[in-house]
Order: sequence, then C-alpha cells, then structure tokens
Amino acid sequence: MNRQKTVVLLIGSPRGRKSTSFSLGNYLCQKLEEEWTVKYGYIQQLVMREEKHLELITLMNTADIIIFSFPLYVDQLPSTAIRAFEVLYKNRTEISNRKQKIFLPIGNCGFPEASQIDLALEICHNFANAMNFQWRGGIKLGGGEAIHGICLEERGGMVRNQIKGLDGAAEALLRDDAIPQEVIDLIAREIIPKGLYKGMGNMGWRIRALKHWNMFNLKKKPYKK
Amino acid sequence: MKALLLNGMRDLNVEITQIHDKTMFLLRTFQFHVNDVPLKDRKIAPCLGCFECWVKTPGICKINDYGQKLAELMVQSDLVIHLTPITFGGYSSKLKAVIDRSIPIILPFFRKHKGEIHHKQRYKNRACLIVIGYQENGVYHNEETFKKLIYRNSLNMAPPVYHVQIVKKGQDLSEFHTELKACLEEVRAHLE
Repeated sequence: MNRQKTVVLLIGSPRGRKSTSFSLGNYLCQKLEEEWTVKYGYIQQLVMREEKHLELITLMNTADIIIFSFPLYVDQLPSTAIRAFEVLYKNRTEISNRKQKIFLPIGNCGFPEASQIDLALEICHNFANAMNFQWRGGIKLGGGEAIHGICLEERGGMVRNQIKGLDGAAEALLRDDAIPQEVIDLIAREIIPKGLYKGMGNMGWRIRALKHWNMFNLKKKPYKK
Repeated sequence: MKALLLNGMRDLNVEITQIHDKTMFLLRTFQFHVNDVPLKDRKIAPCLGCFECWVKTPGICKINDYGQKLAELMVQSDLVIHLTPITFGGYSSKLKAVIDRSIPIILPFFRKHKGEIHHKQRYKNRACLIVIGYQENGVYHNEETFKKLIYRNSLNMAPPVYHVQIVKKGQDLSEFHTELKACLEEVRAHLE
C-alpha cells in the first residue's frame, strides 16, 4: 500500500473541462483517486494573470505527481502551457522536493497519428529535466476529435484500447513504476483508421459550418494579396 | 518584397537585441520593406481552441486584437522571420501565441503529406520562413528539439523556402551574419 500521495492534474487546454485533455486526464485521475488525493488546475486561468502565478506554484508544491494533459497546437504545446513552463522554471527554487516529483504529460491531437505528438512530449521531457522532475514516460493519443471532450466511458468500444491503456498507466503509477511501453503504444493506437478519419473529418467540418450557414464558404480568402 | 519580423523575446536580452539589429540591417540591405514586431510590447490573447476561424468566420480569428492583424500580415508578407529564445526546445510563449493564432491561414480540411495527415493551405502564395533561435545554454538537447520543431512546422505551414539558424549565447555573430545573408539570397532568388 502506497502512502497517501497528491496528484495534480493540470489541464493545458483553453477549453478546460470541455476538452479532450480533461477527458483523458480525468479518467486516469479517477483511477488514482481510489487511493490518492487529486487536485485540478487549469493552465489558462493560472498563467494569464500574474497574481495567479503564486497559486500555480503553491499547487506544484502540494504535488507528488503532476499529470499534465494538453492538446497539440501547431506541432507543440499551446502558448499558455509554454507560459506555465516559463513561470515554473523561473520560480523553480520556490518549489520544494522537485527531485521527488513525477511529471507525466498526456498529449492529444486532432490528427489520426499519435506520433505527431512526439515532439511536444520531447519539449515536456526537456522541461522535466530542467526542473529536475522525475520522468516516467509520456502518453500520446491521436484522433482526439473522436473523443471531443466527452468522458471516455461514454465513448465506449471505440476507445477500448485507450481505456485499457490508461488503466495500465494508473496501475504503473500506483506501483511507483514507469509507464510501460506497451501501455503507451496501446493508448497511441488509431481510434479510427486514418483513411476513414480523414474522410469523416473533412465532412465533419462542413457539418459544423452548416450551423453558421457557412458550409460552402470554408475556403474563403479574406487576406488574399 | 515584404518581410514580417516577429521578435519573441519576453525580457530584455542584449544578445537577442543584437541578433535582431543585424537581421534588420540585412533585411534592409536586401531591400525588404520590414514590419518589425517586438512581441514583448504587445498584448496578444492566446488561441481559444474554438475553431470558429474555420467554421464561423472562415479565415478570420474572432479575437479582435493585434494577433488578428498579425495573421493578415503573415499572408501579405513574402518572408516571415521568427526570432525567439529557445524555450525547452520550442518557441517562447510570446511567439507561440502568435503562431497559435495563425491557424485561420490554413484550412480545416485534411491532406496527406509524406505519409501523415496535415491541414490544407488556405492561400496558394505562402511566405518563406526563417527561424532564428537563441540558445541560452546547451543543456537538455534543446537545439535538436528546436530543429525538429521547425521541420515539423515546415510540413504544416508549407513555406516554399525555410531555414533555421541557432545562435548560442556568447557566439560571434559574424558567422550568423554570413549564414543569414545566404538564406536571404535564396529567398530573394525564389521571389524574383
């Protein structure tokens, strides 16, 4: 039995609780909550105003495990997540027991290939090294639009590999182990085959535009030279 | 020829300022009309991830601040230069906010490119891209990560010409000057 630990789930998406980042991080934390305490932090709220930075640092001080769930924005982390890294690094001496803290990023993207997140995870790894946090591996998920902020159990069979993988990740953390590679690979499996995802995605954008009477205007060029 | 220079420096840094000044000098030598944007003086809201720039107001971000104007300038420019302190292998948060807000200049639709899915381009004519990273310390393989990032950006943004230059803290800038000059010659040859 582990001693009581505190897990801090940081949501790196500006969409907060409505995001796929929340769906993934929250699923994992619910498993950990059976034994440990879980606290939530929303990056957008914690970094935009300087007076909130102290709250972010205080939250980090309470954490044994930091789970950082984020969406991929233009090949890497969203700007607010980078701002959080900058703030934490600048104030690193204010954070105690850094070598004991575990940093686990979970990246998701709207492309079907989870491998497109590898670089963002590398940036997270660089950050963890700079902070002297422990690295236990990074989790990545492609085709995030198929989840679209809905809780994983509601998505059912479509995300069975991801659910099984996150269960495995929770077990590894509870055992105080690194996340096994087979667990990372299981979560990274395609939710929907690439060809189908491309077709459905292209159709999906038109359907979303229909709501705004824009179905045939999506290729507008307002800034054309 | 129009160039947009985005300076992602957050706190005043003498060496980044020197790199900036050398870049400006060369751009003027090459007769670029330069929009020089020091981002530390600008308040640019982060992307909300709402995708309304794709489905509600196609091609235009709904946040009416200077970030919206910069997306337009990116399209109107022949060359975009990103200058940034390398931040854990990536851009500074200041510059990344601008890059995140530039997604209206691509389309939501997918294309397959080099075996991966990427977004299609909204505009046929795209700016060349030069990225200058300033490396404060050589630890944690940040340089290699940064080069990979710019390569991946080039897959998504599809600039006709792209270059990445890394300047290390304390490095003599004459080498940087020579390299940048060669890059600009290539850009000019492409534009002519």
